[in-house]
Amino acid sequence: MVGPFKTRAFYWVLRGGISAFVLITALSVGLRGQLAETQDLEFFETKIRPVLIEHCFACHGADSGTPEANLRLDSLQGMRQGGDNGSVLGDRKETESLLVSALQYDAFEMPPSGKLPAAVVADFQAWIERGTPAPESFQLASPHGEAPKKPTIDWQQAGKHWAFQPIQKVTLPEVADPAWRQHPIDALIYAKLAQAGVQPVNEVDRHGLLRRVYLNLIGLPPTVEEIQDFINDDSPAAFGRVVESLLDSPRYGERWGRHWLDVVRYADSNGADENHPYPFAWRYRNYVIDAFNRDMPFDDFLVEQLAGDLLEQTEQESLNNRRLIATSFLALGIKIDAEQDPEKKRADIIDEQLDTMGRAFLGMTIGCARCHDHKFDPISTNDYYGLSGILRSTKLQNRPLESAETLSVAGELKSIQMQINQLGVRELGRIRTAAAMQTELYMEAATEVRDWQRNQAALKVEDRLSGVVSGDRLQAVGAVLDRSEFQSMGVWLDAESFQRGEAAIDRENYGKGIGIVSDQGGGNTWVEFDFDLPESGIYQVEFRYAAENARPGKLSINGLLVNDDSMAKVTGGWFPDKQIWMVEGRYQFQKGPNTLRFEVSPNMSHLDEIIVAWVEPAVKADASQKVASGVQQTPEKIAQAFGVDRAALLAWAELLRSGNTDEPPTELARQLSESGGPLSSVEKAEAYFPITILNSLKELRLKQQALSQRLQELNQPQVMAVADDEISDAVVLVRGNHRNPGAVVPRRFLTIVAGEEQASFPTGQSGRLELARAITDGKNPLTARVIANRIWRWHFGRGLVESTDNFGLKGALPTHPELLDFLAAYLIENDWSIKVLQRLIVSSRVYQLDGRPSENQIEQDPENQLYGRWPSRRMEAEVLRDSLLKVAGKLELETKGATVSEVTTANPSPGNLAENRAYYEGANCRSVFLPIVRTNVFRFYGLFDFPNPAAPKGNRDSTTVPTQSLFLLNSHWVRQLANEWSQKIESTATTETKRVERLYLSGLGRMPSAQEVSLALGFIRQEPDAWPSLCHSILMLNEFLYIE
Amino acid sequence: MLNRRELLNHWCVGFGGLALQGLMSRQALPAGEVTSKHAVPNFPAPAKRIIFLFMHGGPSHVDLFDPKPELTRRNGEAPPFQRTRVQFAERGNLLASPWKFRPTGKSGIPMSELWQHLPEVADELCMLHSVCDTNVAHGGACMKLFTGSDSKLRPSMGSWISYGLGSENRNLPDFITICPSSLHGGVDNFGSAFLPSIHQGVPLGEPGYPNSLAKDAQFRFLKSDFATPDEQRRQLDFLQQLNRQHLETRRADSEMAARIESYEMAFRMQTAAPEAVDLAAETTATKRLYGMDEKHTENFGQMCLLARRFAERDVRFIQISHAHSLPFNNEQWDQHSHLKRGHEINVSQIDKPITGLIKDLKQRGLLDDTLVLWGGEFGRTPTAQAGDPKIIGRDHHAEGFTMWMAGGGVKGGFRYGSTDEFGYYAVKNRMTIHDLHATILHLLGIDHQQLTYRHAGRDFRLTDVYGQVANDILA
Repeated sequence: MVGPFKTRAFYWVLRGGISAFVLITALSVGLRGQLAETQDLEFFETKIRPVLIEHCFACHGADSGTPEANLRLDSLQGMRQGGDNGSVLGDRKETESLLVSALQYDAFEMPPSGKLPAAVVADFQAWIERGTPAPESFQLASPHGEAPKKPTIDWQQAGKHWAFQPIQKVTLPEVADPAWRQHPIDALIYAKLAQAGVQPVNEVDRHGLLRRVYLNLIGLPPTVEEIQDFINDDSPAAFGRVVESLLDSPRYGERWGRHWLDVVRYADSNGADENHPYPFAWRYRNYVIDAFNRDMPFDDFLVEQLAGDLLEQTEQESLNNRRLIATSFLALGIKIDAEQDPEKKRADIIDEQLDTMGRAFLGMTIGCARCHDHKFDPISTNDYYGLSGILRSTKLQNRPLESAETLSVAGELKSIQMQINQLGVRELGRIRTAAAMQTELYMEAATEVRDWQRNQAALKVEDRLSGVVSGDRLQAVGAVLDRSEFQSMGVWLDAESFQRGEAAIDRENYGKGIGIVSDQGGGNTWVEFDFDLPESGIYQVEFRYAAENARPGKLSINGLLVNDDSMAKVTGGWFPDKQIWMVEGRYQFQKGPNTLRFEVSPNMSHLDEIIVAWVEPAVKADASQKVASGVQQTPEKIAQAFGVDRAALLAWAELLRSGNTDEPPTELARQLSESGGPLSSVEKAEAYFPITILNSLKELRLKQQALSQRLQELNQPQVMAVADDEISDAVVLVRGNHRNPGAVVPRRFLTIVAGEEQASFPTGQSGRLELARAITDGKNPLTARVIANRIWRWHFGRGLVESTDNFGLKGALPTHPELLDFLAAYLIENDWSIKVLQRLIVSSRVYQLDGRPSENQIEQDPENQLYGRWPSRRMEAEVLRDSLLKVAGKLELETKGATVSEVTTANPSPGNLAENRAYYEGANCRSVFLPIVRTNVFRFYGLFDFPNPAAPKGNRDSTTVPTQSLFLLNSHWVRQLANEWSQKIESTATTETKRVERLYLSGLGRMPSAQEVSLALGFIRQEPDAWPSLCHSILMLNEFLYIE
Repeated sequence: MLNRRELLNHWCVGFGGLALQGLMSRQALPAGEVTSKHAVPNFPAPAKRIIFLFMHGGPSHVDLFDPKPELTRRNGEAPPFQRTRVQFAERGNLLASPWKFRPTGKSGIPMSELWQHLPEVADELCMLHSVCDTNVAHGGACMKLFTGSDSKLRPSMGSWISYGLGSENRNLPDFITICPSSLHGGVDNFGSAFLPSIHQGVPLGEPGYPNSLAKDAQFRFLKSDFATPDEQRRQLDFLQQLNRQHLETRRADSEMAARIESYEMAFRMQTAAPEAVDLAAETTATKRLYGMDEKHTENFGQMCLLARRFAERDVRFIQISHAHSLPFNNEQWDQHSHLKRGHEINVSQIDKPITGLIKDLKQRGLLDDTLVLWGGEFGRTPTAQAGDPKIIGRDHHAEGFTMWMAGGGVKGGFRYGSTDEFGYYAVKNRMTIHDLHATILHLLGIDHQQLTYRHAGRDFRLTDVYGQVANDILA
């Protein structure tokens, strides 16, 4: 047997060319190795292999099928290759060996049956330190290890689960009782009742029915007048008319939209670690309410929520906007904003989206397959990452809304840009034509201009300054001279040195290193500078400033306004690197003291320095402000003298200055317009444009600037939405660990629904639209069943499948499978109209039964599994609050836009929590419009089982705890409403008996019995604060709190 | 024979305490999901309740309990080891502790000189020096510590314990948190997530930032401001008469019956809860023991005394938060800067009250079955945080830090686990947050693998799929 050390030494000897020292060392190691080898192998066979066989092979051996964590421990090869968590051997050091770490119960806890004795662990450590010596028989993995992985999901078996079966066409059972065979729902319910020998109770009285349908459909009790209207209308169609009016009421969407908001874990803040507001979430809330009111087909409703942004854009901006708003669904979840690991954050957000989508739309707990194939349901890890790829190709993005103004401003902006382009192009064309006409004449004239320019460059400071005044356009002294060169030519001021003013000095940010003056954040801004001048005359005023946007102001000298468009240019930014000298103009100053004032409102460019330069004392005071007369104006004069176009001449001069003048004139003329030449582009040629053209351009550009600013404002984000990101398939994160990437899985829908062979998802889009279509496809039995079951749950308080959000193998079985399929099919047949389905349900006899059980039922069906009576239940938190407000006459139905900005979210102190509480208790809008701050939910909601908005909840809890009783007994808010109610009662009814009747009718929807009247009268006679206390008591009655 | 819904309602009427032993196996659960395994304790337990002294912000282990001479020797040097991949702030070089350490008690547990009183009970303490593997930001780390997950909303540890053990006092909540923070998970850190809401922690004092003061702390809605007890009793009599009449024809509705009972329970609680928080019966000597006679310890001392009173009344999970009384750091122990000043103030506020609490529990025979846990959401780096050296501080540190336990079945005067020579990585007997949870549950007699709740298609645990009990610390 050849040991590793010996082999290596032998190899070196053969190679030759190595030093004797190395050779000897290597050989001696080899000899020692040979001796140690026997001991090493003995060590392995006695200490290591038996332990591996006894404790590890069952899960990590050749016969373990797919080895746990894909790790084989029955060969060195397997150990080196490692499994899901990488090699387990490490580099001879204990800290890096996963094997030892797991045995120590550190990184993992292996073997799971119990920690091995410390001595055994020490043996493994020693073995690794020795370099894992092992016999050949342990070197390579046995071929069994290459066997393909056995799938953990038996798809065929799983497919037999009821929820994955196609929706069945239901044959209605034969029912003898004529009262129960009119309506398909009644027939299906009655058949089961009859089978179990349970006799249904009679229908509820009309008072009870009206209160029930009001609370159920719009979440508010009927008013006294509404009750009287209904009771007085004895036509058989009276109830149908009430149902229609309730379904048509805007109150309907406020009630039923809230049910959907439970399912999509709606809230107005991110919750979790830090609580940041979601300022635009309310648009989605209102979208949902509107969708229910408009009875949007449920399949469209789902498609919009998953992929509204990917639907074809229409001419109707409101439709486009609505679809964009719908995608808030994906963005609303709980997020850990402060997570420091961006990969983990992304993976967690996607997991949250998938989990919500799965439970809300499909009743499938997809989230369970993040780390391994779902333990119970046929959802594989590949399914999870197939779906995950769709969301990984999608990003969360707050986006603007479309509006008519956006479109018109964008259009106008486009037209202005075209005008600017046209003007420039036209002028350039004119100059090019002129320049090409008399090439030799131009060359001659241009030579003179060039020579003049060269002389100018060679002049001394003073002479250079004459250049400042001689140019066609004004040039800044500050750009030409240093402060030291400037000396006594006038005054050079730091902006911060102003004598008076309302302005801010900034030396840290915008003024870092230079010091600038700007506004204090708004209001009127002004600064005044006092200085002395040695002579009166025309001086050039220059400002050095930085401005990203134009902020024009007024410049006054010695009290006279001289320029109302001063400091108006844009320099390209706000920071010191964009500080530029600009000439404001030439103005008359006096000898001795002068005052310069600049004023602007509200914001001011970032002013660094000011120069008032005595450039041309010879210029007459009455001369034009912007033109220096009596100086050379050389290029102008030359152009006149030669009778050529000034702009074309300047272009020629530029060409001669920089180019090769030896070329023939025609060649040079060509170079004028060639790439890099002075007339090669509008941009380059603009320097030579005549002032009239420049003025037009300036005007257009100001307009352009204003328009693009407005467009920017209009394009502020207003909706919490998503957009497609870089499109890619997802990588499996082995064991859910974002640090442990595995194979790439193509984007796809659930295998159990769509099969193994699926059309591949588009490479140019995330695939959300395809996913939405697959979810709402008629071939998918889950979606219609899940929503039909939810609707039933929201009418009857319990789903036909009790686990409304889980239709998987561990979910509940349907109590009435035929009824469920009947409802699901009915929904699809009626174009997914929720209201049509509800009309059917509400018109059934089952819906109209009394809530009081018969003796027979208490025996036979105490829990009312068969619906032989109405299942009474406590109102939800919102219905209770709205009902209390309504009864007290405080409910405001017009407030609909409450947003999260009205309450404090992040870091609430007891003080602003008290403010929040005051806000919630003072608000009289419907409950659905109150902002939901995750981790600081309105206390009243928390008490009455408002669902935690962290996850979908189609099946609200209904607990009975004393804290609810304490709240109802002792809260000022409840008592105050009772007071208001009692005032209403006292003012509308004359006698005490009439008051009691009114109390019962408005509070409980029925008239009191004679005994109840006498009890109430007895109560008010003994109590000091009688009527409020009586009203308060009625509000706490079970009869008030329950939808019966 | 009671049906399922009746059972549920029968046992729901307590303030908390859904899960009396044996009953939960009959599915006293909200409608929907099928069974949940539960019915605990699984075995006889040393601890019946837990007091968690939560140090918000992250106390610095290397300045309090885990001395590192190597830090002193190499002060100012660059760390010779690889730093963690994800860091919170920009980090500087190794920073020696400004405080000296000395052995305390018979056991010789090292404590820095900041501790003046705690050494008196050193031999009761079981140091956990190797807590690790949590999130590096406050929010994630608080969520992990309180709920076991730093990314999902999960039930808090107190609500699991309430769910697992149920109540021994029907007039008080199982889980009370005194003056909790509204930050970093806020109410979710004592919430019940998908567990029935009766298991959520009940705050004494409004959750807030800064936290409310113990002297103002009250349970909400425990008293009527508009009716005398007699008037309220008469109102209840009237209300209940109508309710009972109403129920007569609805006899199968146990929920309505339970609601009638819940009004009576509420009325009784109005007496029981104020009695529990009324310190009038406590002697001056007791109040002094907790430092309530001194300004800087008054607030925390009062919280500790309240905790003892709740422990006496068999509340299962009692939490105190030491948070937000410093002007110069956001969270109490979050000394990114001002390490010296901040830790001096912090220790001075809690040192005497905590020592008093442990002594008081012991002298009343409560320490044996009350587990006291002390610690923050993470520790602080052995390195300095980059910044002004005059007000130097340390950053968040999630890879090795110290918590401690006392009483309730743990070894006193014991040190478990260790960090490396710099106090950076936990190296020996690493104790992840899941391990910590498993150990706490074990001390309360609960097998963490058995305490499950079926939700959204699977059985959830406080410890997810992890957790190993630290058997070495069991007395």
